[in-house]
Amino acid sequence: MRLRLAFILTTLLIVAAACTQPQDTQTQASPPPPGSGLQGEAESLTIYSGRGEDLVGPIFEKFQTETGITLNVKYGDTAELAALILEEGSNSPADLFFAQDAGGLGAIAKEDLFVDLPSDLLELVPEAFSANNGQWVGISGRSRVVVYNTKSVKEADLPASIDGFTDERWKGRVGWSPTNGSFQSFVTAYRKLKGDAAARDWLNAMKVNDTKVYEGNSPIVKAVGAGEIHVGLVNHYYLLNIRKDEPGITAANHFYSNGGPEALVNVAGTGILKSSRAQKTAGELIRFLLSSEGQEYFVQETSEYPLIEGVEPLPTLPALSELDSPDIDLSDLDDLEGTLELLRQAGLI
Amino acid sequence: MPLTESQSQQVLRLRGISKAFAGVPALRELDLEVGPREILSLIGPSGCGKTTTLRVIAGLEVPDGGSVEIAGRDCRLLPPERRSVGFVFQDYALFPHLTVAENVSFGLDGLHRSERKKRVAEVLDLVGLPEMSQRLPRELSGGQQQRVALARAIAPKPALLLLDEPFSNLDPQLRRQVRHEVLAIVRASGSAAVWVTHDHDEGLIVADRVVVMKEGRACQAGTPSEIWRSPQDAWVAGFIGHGDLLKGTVSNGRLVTSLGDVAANGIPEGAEATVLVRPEDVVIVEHGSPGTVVRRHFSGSDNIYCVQIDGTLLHCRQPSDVEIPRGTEIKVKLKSDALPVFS
Amino acid sequence: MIRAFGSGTGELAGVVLRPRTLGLLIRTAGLAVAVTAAAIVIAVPLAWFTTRSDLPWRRFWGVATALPLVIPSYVGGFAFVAALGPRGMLQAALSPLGVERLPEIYGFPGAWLVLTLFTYPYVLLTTRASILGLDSSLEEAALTLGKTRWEIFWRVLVPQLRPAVAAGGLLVALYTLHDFGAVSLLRFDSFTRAIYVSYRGSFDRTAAAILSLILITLSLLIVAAESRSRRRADYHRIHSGGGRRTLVIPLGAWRWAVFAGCTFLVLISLGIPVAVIGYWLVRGTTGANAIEPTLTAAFNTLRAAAAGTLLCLLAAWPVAALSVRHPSRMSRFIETSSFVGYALPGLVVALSLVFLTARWVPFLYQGLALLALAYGVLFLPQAVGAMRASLLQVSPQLEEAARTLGAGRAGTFFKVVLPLVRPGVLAGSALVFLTAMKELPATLLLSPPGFATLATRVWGATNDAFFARAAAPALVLIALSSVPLTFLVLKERSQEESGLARDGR
Repeated sequence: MRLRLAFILTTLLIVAAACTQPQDTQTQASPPPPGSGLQGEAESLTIYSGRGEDLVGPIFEKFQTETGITLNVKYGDTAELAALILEEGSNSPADLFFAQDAGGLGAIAKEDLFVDLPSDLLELVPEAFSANNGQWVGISGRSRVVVYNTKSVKEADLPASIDGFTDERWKGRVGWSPTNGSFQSFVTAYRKLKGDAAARDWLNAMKVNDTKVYEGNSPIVKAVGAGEIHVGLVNHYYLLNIRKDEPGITAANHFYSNGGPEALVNVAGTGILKSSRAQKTAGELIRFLLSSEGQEYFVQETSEYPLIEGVEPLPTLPALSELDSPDIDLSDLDDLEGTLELLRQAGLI
Repeated sequence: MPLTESQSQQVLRLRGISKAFAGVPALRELDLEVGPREILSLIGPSGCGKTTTLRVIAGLEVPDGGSVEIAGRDCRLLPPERRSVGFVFQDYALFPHLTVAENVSFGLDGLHRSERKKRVAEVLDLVGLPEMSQRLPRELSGGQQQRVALARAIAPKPALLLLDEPFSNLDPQLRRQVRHEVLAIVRASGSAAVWVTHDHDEGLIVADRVVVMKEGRACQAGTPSEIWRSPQDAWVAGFIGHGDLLKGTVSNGRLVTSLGDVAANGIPEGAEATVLVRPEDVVIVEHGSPGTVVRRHFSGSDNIYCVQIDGTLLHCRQPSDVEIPRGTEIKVKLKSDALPVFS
Repeated sequence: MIRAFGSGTGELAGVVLRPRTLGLLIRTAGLAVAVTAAAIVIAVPLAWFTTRSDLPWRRFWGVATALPLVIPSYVGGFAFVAALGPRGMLQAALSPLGVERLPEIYGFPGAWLVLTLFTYPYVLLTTRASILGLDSSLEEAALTLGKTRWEIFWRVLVPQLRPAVAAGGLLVALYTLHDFGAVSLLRFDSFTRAIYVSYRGSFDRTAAAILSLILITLSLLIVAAESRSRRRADYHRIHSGGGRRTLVIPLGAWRWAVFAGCTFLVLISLGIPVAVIGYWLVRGTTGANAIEPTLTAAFNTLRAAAAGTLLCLLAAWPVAALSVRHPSRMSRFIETSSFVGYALPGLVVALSLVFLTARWVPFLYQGLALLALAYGVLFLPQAVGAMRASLLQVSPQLEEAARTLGAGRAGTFFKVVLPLVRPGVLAGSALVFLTAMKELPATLLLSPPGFATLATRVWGATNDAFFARAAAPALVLIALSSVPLTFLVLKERSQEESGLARDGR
């Protein structure tokens, strides 16, 4: 009977756990280590990677072979992993968080769970591509583009700015992904640059213009390639990567270099967790990712922009300096609340 | 024999057992005793608490109050597996995944393998199913399942055997035949037994002693012939059946009825009272109360005639060769004046 | 929940009363009802055809029509979009015939179609089991009373099958509530999707918590409705003489029509996903060296699913035993609560577990044990359901008989109860095992770092649009999950055969 009771209690506890939502208060992280130096070394690192194994697995592999340090990587969705770290608080087993976009990094930085990175790491990349407070650093860059079907659209016919897609001419021909983090960062940039009212008007106008909703960037690019839609609002590298599988895809990227939100260059980046006991080792990994070897990898394998000097992007891409990314602090892109509210009001999420 | 205590000790002693289910009392202050090798039958209408009594004895229900003693041991807190009782369930409760032999040897864990085999063979012989040992329960007929259930219950040589309506799933023909076999087996096993049945005939036939239960109490206990001859009250008499209850009034120390008068057994003058008249107590005579034959039940050895007298129906037993056509006017009277009388 | 209430009633009201929330509620409930109804309409006749009729290849169809259950909805969703989407494979094939536009697959119709196709086997399995357990004498009695087969199906069989159909329907409805893969790929705006968006977009855990609460309420309503339909159906089958007789009913001219129907169903529900994955595999150029990681992932998948199944069984036993043997308000409450985990998105369950374990039992955290625990929470109802059904058929008298024969509680359990419920428990385990193998959201968050399973590999590859790399693990996943399912169906069949064998005596 006692045994049965114990079972019942356990079950109850599990059920209770399932219905209980975690509390809001985060357990206080341990105080920042003294000085700006990273503390602690280890033979292995635990990494939460919001970038897929197929994308970044090989470069981690390379690091392991070269240094003998074992990397235990947990792959997942950037935002889900960020939520995970927030739930774990100071108990997080992760040493390093490798995020798909600045928004995910900002969420962790906001809760003060990252250490301040040493300046020699921060200085490897242009100031615009790391956090203002030095808690995270960009690893690779990606530009917003408009992908278009080369059979149905001439590049010259594309509007001069993203606002042009609200025109009747583009009705039902454009695809976007309102739930996607990159798109939301773009909307945040739009708000920062042109104000909330303008952003709301644009979203509504696009919606009225029958812009098609997709779940993620790849489906948009595929849909453009298939002619299902003619234009898609995405990041630049999706087309390049899909082309590896489908060399014949009839689509091309159009880069806006007009200083507007549609020309935003965002980064995938990384930060070291305060709770880590191997911060110094984690710093080594960041340094490796920002070495010319690491940067070359991102150029070749993920078609992204390198962020350090001396490594060039793919020749088919315009240079980073030509892109005229809007003058905006990437750390500000973590202000998603307002963006989501707008998207909600527009009935898009 | 499992009875290590002196033979004079009662095998079962229940004292003041009470049990309620969700506030509804099922047993009220029940006392019950069973002596060595005695077969006690518990009879009563459905819902009177017979089965609950059995389950309390077996330890399958925990009584709210009172004491249970089996073979001299206080069993109130003992789990069923340590009470040395054998239980024959109404639906037999044979383990469907085990063969007959495995079912029978289920309770013989304490024995050595060879002894266990011997005992299984012995018991299956006793119930007359030695060739069925490798069958599965569902491959047996109802009567065979019933005997396996019995074999399984007696195999561990329990101090007390409990039978819960053991024949309720058998057809009447089979029931009569199996009843005698089972009775013989129980006698041969040497265990004392409590036999629950709602069939009063069966209860009277099988038992050394009978307890009639009503609403959670034992309302009468005695030998079968005592119960038959002198039911304690009209209710018991009615339950035992095979008799008509005749109303009358006491006058001069005699209970006067439409069929004549009988001894009033101390019932006060002028009171209304009832007499139990069994079919064999009614005889057909030249001079007596007039009545009309309305029905005949032929049962082979007897004819029971249903006679209408002054608007009441009375049964009268006659040999099977006495045939009286329906509608015949006859005269009847009571054979004896010492019949059970209730106030 | 704490978070939801901690947020203050103002915000609570704000989220709950948002017109969008109401719209979500209606849409989600509508989808659950539509999917469940469609699943029943497909599964009940199919269950009958594959057990009682003279359908050609009846045994084969029994397995094949149950197999769509092994297709994870995120794979199925992808496949359907690729195949039936605008400018998908079907359109491409039809375009020479001048077909320019296919009916819209996105939104409600697509989500409805995909979820129905991949969940109807739940109803099929419970209904089949129930049909095989029925005594044909009732049908024979109806036949002698001059009823047609059709009337018998509706008036004799269907009422008897109602509890089984309701149990299967419950799983379908709750699955629909918690599924994320299909609704997101087919762009149907459901509650689960809103919860994910809430977490993903804004780390807005309060709003997500409130939405989860509403989802819990919705699921409890569904569970309550199901248990109402079941209340009078509990019985202990008495094992007495005589075996079951299975009445085979000739379909006559309809035989081949039904055969064609089965073929069509299996072709779209199983054929399309497998064909699309096969196409990825053949077409891809980047999937060549994926064999070894796929094997490791397969091994990990099996390990995690096995651990989860075991835990699930341990937790399910007391729930089932309590509800069957000691029915009370309390046991009903516990049983009902056990369904909550199943109705919640894996992400919500996973984060709750993270919250609890990271704080209070850190040694469990990020180990395989935690993942197993999550599977336990998520799939408890499937195990409880199977155990409950088999326990109902074990008369409590058998346990009492064992007790009076000197077996203790433990002895009774191991020697009597366990052997008798084993088939049911095995069936439940197979179902849990299979579902755990497919599970994605909790696996992603809770598996230890460096622990890749087939599901996470498929997700990772499709997420980055490396469809060819997703193909191998997806095929292995489908193949591996087919094993327990086939076992499940074949086990059923052997029961049926032993029933026939008894009759032959």
